[in-house]
Amino acid sequence: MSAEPLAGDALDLLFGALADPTRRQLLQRLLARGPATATTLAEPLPVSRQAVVKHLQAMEGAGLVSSQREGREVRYRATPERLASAVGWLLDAGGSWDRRIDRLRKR
Amino acid sequence: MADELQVEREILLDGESAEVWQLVASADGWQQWLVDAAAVDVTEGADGEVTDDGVTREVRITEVDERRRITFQWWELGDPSTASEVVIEVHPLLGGGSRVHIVERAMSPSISARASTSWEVRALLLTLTQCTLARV
Repeated sequence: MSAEPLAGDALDLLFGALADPTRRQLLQRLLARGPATATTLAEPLPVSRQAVVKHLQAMEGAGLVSSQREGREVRYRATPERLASAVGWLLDAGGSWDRRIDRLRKR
Repeated sequence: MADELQVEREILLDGESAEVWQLVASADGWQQWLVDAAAVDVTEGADGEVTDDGVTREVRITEVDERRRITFQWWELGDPSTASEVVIEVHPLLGGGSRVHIVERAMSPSISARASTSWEVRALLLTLTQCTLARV
């Protein structure tokens, strides 16, 4: 009859964390140019350093970036390995269940 | 983020729930849709092995709520770091047929065994990030 991925799927949650354009810009920059401080990241953006720190902290909570204190500054880096293995698992597990559900439907 | 790693699916079937339950709670049933081969007695506390799509997994049945819900954990043979938990529920529908609800949750914090795919996915992510950026 029907088989649809449900809302609230973890991939939705993951990409939900990327729904904010400032966060996407921050992550894209960290992926493309490597680790940076909030001050550096805030420079080209029309938002305050404090706002950037808040975004980075939210992204850290979602596992998208990690932080390391260096003297008086905190340096942030994208953590694509963790993200990639999570996305890899989700795509793999999701694909397997789609295949199984297809078999169940055709029985 | 690892706590949120789960896949959820739902399917509506014409078959009555008692009939569908046989597909969910027996090795013969599993072999008709869930896996290619199943060597497990599907009862609470039982251990066994299943093979699907070329991958052999150890499986442990952790809960059987007769005709309603089955919970099991499985992991790739000899590698508990790949463990995940699967919950399959069968609900009868008013007017006939049944609804099957499936959730698989990753149990490992790292899912390290999937790291081999990370380069492709990393490229995909970078592309996605750039695509969504371009739409802003």
